[in-house]
Amino acid sequence: MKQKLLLICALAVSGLAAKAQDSIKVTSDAPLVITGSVDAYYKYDFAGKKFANIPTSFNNESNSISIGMIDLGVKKKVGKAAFVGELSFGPRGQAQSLPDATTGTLTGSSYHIQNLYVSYDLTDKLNVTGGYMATFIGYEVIAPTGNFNYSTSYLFTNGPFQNAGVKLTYAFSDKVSLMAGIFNDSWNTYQSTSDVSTFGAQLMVVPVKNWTAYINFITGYYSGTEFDVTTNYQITDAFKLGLNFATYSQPSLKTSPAYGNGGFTGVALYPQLAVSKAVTLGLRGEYFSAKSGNLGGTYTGVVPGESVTALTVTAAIKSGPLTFIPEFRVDNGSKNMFLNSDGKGTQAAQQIGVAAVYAF
Amino acid sequence: MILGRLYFLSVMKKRLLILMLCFGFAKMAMAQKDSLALDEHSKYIYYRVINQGKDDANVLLVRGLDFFSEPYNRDAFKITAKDANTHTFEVKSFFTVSKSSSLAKHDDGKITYTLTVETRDKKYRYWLGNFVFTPYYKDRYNNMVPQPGVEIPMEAISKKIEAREAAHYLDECAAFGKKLGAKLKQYMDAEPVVKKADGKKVIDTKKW
Repeated sequence: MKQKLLLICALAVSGLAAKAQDSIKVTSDAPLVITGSVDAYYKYDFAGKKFANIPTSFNNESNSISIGMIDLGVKKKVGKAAFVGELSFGPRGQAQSLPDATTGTLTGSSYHIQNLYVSYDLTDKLNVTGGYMATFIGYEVIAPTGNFNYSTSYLFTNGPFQNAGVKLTYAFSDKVSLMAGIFNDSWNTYQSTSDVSTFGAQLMVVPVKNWTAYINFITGYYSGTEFDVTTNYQITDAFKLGLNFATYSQPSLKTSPAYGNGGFTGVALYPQLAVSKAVTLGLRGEYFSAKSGNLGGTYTGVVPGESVTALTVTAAIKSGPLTFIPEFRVDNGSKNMFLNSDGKGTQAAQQIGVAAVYAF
Repeated sequence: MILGRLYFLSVMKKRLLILMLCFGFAKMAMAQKDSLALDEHSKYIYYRVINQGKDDANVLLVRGLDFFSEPYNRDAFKITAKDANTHTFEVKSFFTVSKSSSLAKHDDGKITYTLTVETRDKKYRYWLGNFVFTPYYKDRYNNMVPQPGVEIPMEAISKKIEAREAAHYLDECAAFGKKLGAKLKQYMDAEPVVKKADGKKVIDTKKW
């Protein structure tokens, strides 16, 4: 009996093996793709104070050894269907970027979701994706592994971080694709405020080899309208140039039509030069201007009608999966928008810091 | 006391045997590891000559072309050239690689290559060459995707990435060449199976 069972097992295994022999696997056969990162940093503000003088989204705790987040992502694709779930734990991935599930504000977080969506390839060229996703707008992202600079731009901080919705992406070729989708009225929230009324679209083009451009548009009565161009050009093996331009119009508030009508316009340039296989140096030069209007607030410290110019010098020093990121940044406003060491208003602010990002 | 010592000795013996077996397997595995060679243009290739011993050049050529046109292979392999006169064909494809230091196994890059197959009576040769590495990065949607505009020929890879990873990816090229060669050999050796259009086996019950 034992021998018969063994024989049956052996035959079954050889049958499976025969099937597996047919094709040549060209991609990883991991049952579940797991990715993630961990980041921590130290930042010193030249004003010597604890307050966040330069309003970067993350990397904002001065004179402190601080943590970013642990990011854990899983992905699985079987045939045409795929899912992605990406959770984050830590200030960067919680209160600093994600809304509280119950209040919809950034004051606390009970969920820590970066991406949670399912997708399906309707054809070889057409894909449908639905859920809560990183926004398609802008150059920079929440995950530290997705950015070259550790601090973030004004354009990033004031644009959407995430959008919940359903989108269709059609690939005309590997050089042109078009995405169009319908999203919740409010950005960065797990559920809509009233309805699903934001329209978004993205045209991806590869004008020449090594140059990719994304032309993005998002509009809705609740969250406003943003037109955004994000592009990267790997000009030589060592030199890459990125650019982000965006203009945003704030809608009037339904409850107080006198408010709103503002917005912002900005441009950021990202030249990066690999000086060795372990070290890449980069700059980010940004000009950000808040449009005149009755906003009733500021765009991260930039009041309507004013502007700021920010220059960030960053080095990325790689050692295996670990990247050290020393960074110096100086922001210069069109008027006093920062505080000096005496607590008095000043036009300029400087910070220096170092971050460590481990990717897996 | 004596029984105890005997028991201890027998356990130690077993452990030693297991260690020796492990060591033996490790040595075998190392011995079996293939490596790339350099061609006359100083480019890396994985080159093998196979004495098939049965079929003529035309049969081997058709069988080789069939292998890469099979439904389970044709998405990943593109036949880019074929010549019946010289009994040669070329295939372009890729395979993905993972970093040796990755905690979680996922695709960290892809290596594109060109496969050339040339057949003669009762033998054929094949070689993989023109290896080019493109690193992957994690995009904003948590997908590992190719980094646009970065294409590193394997001949230059040690200047562009860490030496340990460069060596690992070169080993992966050879390992993939070996794997592909084994599958190709299996197909080349097998008698072609006549398939029904719908892929189902039809049995004529009038015959025994």
